[in-house]
Amino acid sequence: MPERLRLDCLFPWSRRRRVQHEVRKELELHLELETRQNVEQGMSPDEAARTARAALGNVPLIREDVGAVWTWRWLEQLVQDLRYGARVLRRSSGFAAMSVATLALTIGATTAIFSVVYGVLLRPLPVAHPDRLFRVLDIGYVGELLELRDRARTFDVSGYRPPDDRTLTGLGEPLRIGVVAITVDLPARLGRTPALGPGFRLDDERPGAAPAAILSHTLWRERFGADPAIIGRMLLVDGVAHEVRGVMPPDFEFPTAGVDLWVPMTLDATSPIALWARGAILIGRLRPGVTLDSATEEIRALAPQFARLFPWRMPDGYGTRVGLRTWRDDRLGEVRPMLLLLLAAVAAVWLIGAVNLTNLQQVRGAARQRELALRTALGAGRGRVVRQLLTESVLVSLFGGALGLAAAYAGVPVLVALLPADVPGVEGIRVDGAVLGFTVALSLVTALASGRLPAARAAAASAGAARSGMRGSVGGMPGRRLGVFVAVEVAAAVALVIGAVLLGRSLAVQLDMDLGYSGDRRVVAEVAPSPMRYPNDAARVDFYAALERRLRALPFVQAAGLSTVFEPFGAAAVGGSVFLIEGRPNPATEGGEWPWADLRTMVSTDWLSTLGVSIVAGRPFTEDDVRGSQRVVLVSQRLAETWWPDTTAVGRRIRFPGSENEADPWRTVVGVVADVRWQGPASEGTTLYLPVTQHLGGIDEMSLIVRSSAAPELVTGSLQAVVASFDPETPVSRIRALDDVMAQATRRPRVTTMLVLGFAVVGVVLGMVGVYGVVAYAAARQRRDIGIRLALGASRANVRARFVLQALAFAGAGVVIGETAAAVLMSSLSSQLFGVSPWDPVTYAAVPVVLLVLAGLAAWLPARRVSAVDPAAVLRAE
Amino acid sequence: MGKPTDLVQGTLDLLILRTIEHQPKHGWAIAKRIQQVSNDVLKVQQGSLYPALYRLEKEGRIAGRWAATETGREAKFYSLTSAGRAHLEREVAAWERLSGAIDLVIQQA
Repeated sequence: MPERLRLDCLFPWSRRRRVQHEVRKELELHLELETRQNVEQGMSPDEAARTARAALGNVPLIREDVGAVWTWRWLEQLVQDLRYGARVLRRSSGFAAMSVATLALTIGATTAIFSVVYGVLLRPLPVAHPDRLFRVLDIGYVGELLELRDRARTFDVSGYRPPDDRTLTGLGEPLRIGVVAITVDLPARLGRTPALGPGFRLDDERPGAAPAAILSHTLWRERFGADPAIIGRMLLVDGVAHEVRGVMPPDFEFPTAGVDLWVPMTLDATSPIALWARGAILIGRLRPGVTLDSATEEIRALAPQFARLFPWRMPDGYGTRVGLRTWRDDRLGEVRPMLLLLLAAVAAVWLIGAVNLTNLQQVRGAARQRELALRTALGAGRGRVVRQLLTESVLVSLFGGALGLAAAYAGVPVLVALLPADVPGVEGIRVDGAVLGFTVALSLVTALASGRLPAARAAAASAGAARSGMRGSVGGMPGRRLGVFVAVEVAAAVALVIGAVLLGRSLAVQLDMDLGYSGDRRVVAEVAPSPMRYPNDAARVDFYAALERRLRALPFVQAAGLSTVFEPFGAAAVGGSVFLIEGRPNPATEGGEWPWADLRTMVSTDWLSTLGVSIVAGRPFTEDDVRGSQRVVLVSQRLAETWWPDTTAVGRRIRFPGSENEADPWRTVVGVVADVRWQGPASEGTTLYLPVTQHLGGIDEMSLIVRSSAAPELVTGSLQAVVASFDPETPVSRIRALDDVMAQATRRPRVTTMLVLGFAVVGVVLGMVGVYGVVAYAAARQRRDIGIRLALGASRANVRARFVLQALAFAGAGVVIGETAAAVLMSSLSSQLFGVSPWDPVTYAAVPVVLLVLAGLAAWLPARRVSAVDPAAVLRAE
Repeated sequence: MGKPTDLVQGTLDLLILRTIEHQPKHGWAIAKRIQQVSNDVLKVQQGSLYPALYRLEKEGRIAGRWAATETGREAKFYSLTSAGRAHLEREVAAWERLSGAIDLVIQQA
């Protein structure tokens, strides 16, 4: 017997079969004994058998109930339900096609957006305990890094400099690669070690240490054939030999993807300039048991003290606004609200789809009432009927979900290609296990949400129908539930459309904005003369001047200019500057506010005119502004208005801190330049322009701009050749049409708007189909009532109006809900809007009107049909 | 074909266990015995009886064994296990408490 039990456990089916067999034998015996008793009581054998069978009841049901004790019945029924469900769905292909299409659309869209959200927001970051890692905001000089290293008790701090492009030579053609200088303890701070090699040593950051480098896995694989012997080899970076100390693991990206080399940051504690003039991005890790709040408290106490350590006076209040932001938040920045917006939009589409499905199921449930009533009459339990209906909706959902998954699988690469490249983790977006799990879960939730209610209703109705002799009584008012359907569909559609309209208007404002320069037929590129050949500023200035002349000599080139690396909208390579104004108190010694320019850039004589930037007052730079002549500067209009509000800026003189010992530190403002939004439509910065011929400041890479009469493609092709003919050692990188670069700036809002707009269109179409469906169902249920009304003299117009007004009443409730949802959502994501309020009254007034008209129309169509019934025909059918 | 509610089902367990307390019986005999002893007041629906028997068997409170009846037919005889006996005692005590309480309410309230 114990063996038998164990076998039963292993093979539950055998036990199940044995039980079935036993029950049959027991019931046979029961029948036999009952019959015999009946005979003994004087019945005829026939009558005795019949009475016994009647007393015994529903034999199959008893057997099932007994079997239910053994847990396998549900599985058996599931198979049965699935088989039956598939057959039913094949037969009603219209319903199935409609449901599957709705599901494929909504689940496909939701899955695609989810895969992006998962890849960017949810996927684990490639660092240890990312929640304990943070970035220091508002301060960031090398000196502060060293101070914090010594003094901070609640956290450990490392630093790096913004990524920089450098030239890797000795591997065939020169290669521009992204390089980041890091403190040697940074990998350990992130919790990562090289996959290969020892990594940096502590003394690598001392001044005079031999240059070292760690490679990215990608660079190692693609340029060095994943050769393990790379460790200890020398790489020529900007002509300087660096010893390879390691290769990072493939998933290591820091601070962003596309960085291929890490070098140690040199920390020279003896040089005040190196400490207090060079910036660094500070990354910290909380010590065990410390919260971000207590670390913030500590750094708030420390940072203001640093102001005194600078060799010059820092602006008042320096360091008081210091804060910490978790690395994850810092990394995601503006991307999170964009993704949340998309997620909300797609969720609204899904909601509309699910409501439509619910209504479809309900319509079908009503149509199948007779079938269900029959099944109930034949002995199906109510739970069993509900389960059968649910199985069908799960079947439809999974099928639709599978199609949606296929659509998402095809759509995600397209979506990823659309996304701006600055979205972190964009290369990690794909349909993977987690996304698959999400899709399956979503399909099941959709199935249960859309199937449970109609199933329960249908089952209840069929029980009633069975009792009342197979004629389902389906009269009555359109239920409140149907009204809720209308309200939900309209609410979701209103929220979607408001979001889309606000985003669209915000985008229009951005696209219409005059940035102050033109990208038309202009090509930009970056040029970095080799430091070996052009070792100092003078040599580089000559190189740039010669390059400009050579370019201008090309037949199709109309103008050419150079500036210090200018990445419109990138902000990475641009920096602001404080300055001093002649005749005003020096804030360094006398206190007061520091004059400040958001951007300080060195430009060649023709650069501004090449870009089409106009001079408002004074003169532009000329060929005469050279080294040795009067030092000059141009200021932007806003800067001039800020610091010389009552008078002209032209002729005034400014200088930069730290120039006290120069023979003639003062620079004369010779012109005022029209305002330019260098960093995109939202930027309203002030700018200082210095002539590159008088001041290059050790900058070794410049941005070249060419205006041509030819197509940008032609220019991009010849630019490389021209520079190579000039100097083959000088790489030209990032050659792009300026129009494309400018388009990048509005890419994120364009993509967001396009997607939300797409969702809004889908949402409105689905929503209106849904309203139509709900009203049509309500109308069908009331056919008989309406027939009676018409027979009693109601006008058809009256009947129609009743339906439309009722639908509109619920739609009105939906409008209120939808507007509230849109207002809450859009104001919390207002960073996505530019130049338009999240509560823009026109949008909030116009969108509901349009949707109410559409909803009224969607309700009017079925209302018209039902009001056209012939009362006699309806009543005769009774 | 109304099915017994849970309350009745709980009572049915008690009746079944008591009926086979001293002598193993097969299904039909259990039903007849309950009907007979209760003066035809309690008629056990077969639709309730057999599921209850199989459930009790699975719960280990009764044990079924196939044996020949006096007429020579194979039948499944159910007998009480020790767990079933303990359960029966608990159930009887609970029932007496309940019915005593109901009596009190009926007579004195």
